[in-house]
Amino acid sequence: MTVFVKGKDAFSFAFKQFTDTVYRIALHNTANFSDAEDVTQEVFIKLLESNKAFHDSEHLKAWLIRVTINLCRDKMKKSSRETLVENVLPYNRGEEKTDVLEAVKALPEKYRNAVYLHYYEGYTAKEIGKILDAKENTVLSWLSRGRDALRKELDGGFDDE
Amino acid sequence: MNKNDYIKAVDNIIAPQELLDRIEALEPPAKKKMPVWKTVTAVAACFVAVVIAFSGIVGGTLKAESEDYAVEDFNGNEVLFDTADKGAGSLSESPSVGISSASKTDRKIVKTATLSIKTKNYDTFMNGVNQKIEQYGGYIEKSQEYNYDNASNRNANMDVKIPADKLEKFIDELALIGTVTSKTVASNDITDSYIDVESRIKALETEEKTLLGILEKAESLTDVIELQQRLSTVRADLEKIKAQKQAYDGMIAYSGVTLDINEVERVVEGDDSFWGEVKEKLMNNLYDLGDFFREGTINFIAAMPYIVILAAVAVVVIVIIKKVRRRHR
Repeated sequence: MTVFVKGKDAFSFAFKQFTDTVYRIALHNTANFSDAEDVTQEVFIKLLESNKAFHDSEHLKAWLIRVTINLCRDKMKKSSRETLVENVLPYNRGEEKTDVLEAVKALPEKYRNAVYLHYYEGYTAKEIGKILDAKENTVLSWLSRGRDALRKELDGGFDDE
Repeated sequence: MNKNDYIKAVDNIIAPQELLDRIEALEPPAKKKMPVWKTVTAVAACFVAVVIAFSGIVGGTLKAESEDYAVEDFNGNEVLFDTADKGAGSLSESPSVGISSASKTDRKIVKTATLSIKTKNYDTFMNGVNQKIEQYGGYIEKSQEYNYDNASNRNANMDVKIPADKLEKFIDELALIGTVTSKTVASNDITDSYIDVESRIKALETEEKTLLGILEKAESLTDVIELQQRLSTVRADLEKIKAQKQAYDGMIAYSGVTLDINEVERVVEGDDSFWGEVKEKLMNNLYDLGDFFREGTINFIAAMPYIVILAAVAVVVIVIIKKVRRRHR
C-alpha cells in the first residue's frame, strides 16, 4: 500500500486541511466551545503520538473523524461525572429550536454524526458505515430517523431539496 | 429551514485562531531529544552496518569452510565418486530440483551451488575451471589457494558467479574434468520480497509524480520548501529501494557457486558392492603400506648425515672400550 503521509508530515497536512473538520465534529459532540477546542487539540496530539502512516488524504480524514468522535465520547463521560448539574439540560430540550445546529446537536450521537457526515461532508451511507463501523443499511436508517426528528423540531423540516 | 441552512451554519464554525496557534505549537513526543538521538542512531547504525558487513564476510568464509570440512569428514577418502563414468549419472539424479522448473515460471529464484571436487591434476583442473567460467560468461568473486605440506596437496576455495541458466551445464562440465565428491544445489524463492520491492518502487514513483504536480501549483514559499523536503525524502527512499532491486536482479541472474577444490594423489574408483569396498580398502591399505616403505626409505636416506656421525661416534666408543679391556687383561 502506498504511504501518502506519515508522522510530522501527516500532522502538517491534517492541520492545513482538516482542523476545521475536526473542530466541527468536536463541536457537534461536546457541550461547549471550550470542550470542543480541547478535543481538537487532543486529536492532533494523538496524531503526532501515533506516528501512523496514511495511504491517502481520505484515509487520514476518516481516521481523524473516528478519533474525534471517540475523544468526544470520553470527554462527555468525564464531564458528566464531574459536573452533573450543568449537564441536566444541555440543549434547551422541549422548546422548538430555531437554531438548526442546536437541533442537530440534540440528536442521539449516531444520528447526529451520520447527519453531519452526509449533509455537510457529503459522504455516502456506505462511506459513513466504513468510518463509524456500521452497516450501510444501519447508516441509512440513522439518517432517516435523524431527518424525521429534525423535521419535527424545525420549521420547514430538513429535506434534501 | 432545510439542509442548506445547516450547511451554512456549519460553514460558520471555524476553529478559533487561538486554538490553531496551540495546535501548530504542538511538537512530536520526543522532538527535543532528536539531535542527540540522531547522532547516536547514526553512529550506532554505522557500527552495526560495519559489524554486519564484517561478520557477513567472515561468516561467509567460515560457513563455506565448515561445510567443506564436513564434506571431507563424511566422505573421507572412502566415498569418492568417479565422475568420468558413473559420477555424471549420479549427479543428474541428485537433488537439482527446481532449477529447470523454476526458470520456466515467473518466480524469482536465487540459485546457489556448493561443490567439493578432488583432482589429481590440480593445474590442469584449475585451468579448466577458469576456462569454463569464462566460457559461460561468469566471473570469480573470490579465490583462495593453499599449499599444505607438499606440492601434491593443494587446496583452493573459489566463489564463482555463473549466469543462472547455465549453472547446471557448468556443474556438469566441472564433473567431467574433476571428481565431484559432494554437490549441493539450493533454490531460494524470493518472489514475495521481489514483488514487495517492485510495488514500493511504483508507489514511491507515483508519490514523486503527485508531489511534483502539487509543487507546480504551490504558491507560498513554505509550501514549496515543505514539498521539496518531502520530495527529497521520497527520492532518497526510491534510490535505496532501487538499489535493493538491482541487488535482487543480480542474485537472480547470477548463481553463486562455491568450489572447494582439493588436490589428491590418486582418486580411487569404488562402488557400494562388497567387493568394490574390499577393493577400495585393500587398495588404500596397499597404498598406505607402499607409502610407509617409501616414506621410511626416504627418511632413512634423509637422515644419513646424522647416521654417519652417530656411526663414527659409536666406532670410536667401541674402539676405546676394547682398548681399555685389553689393558685390564
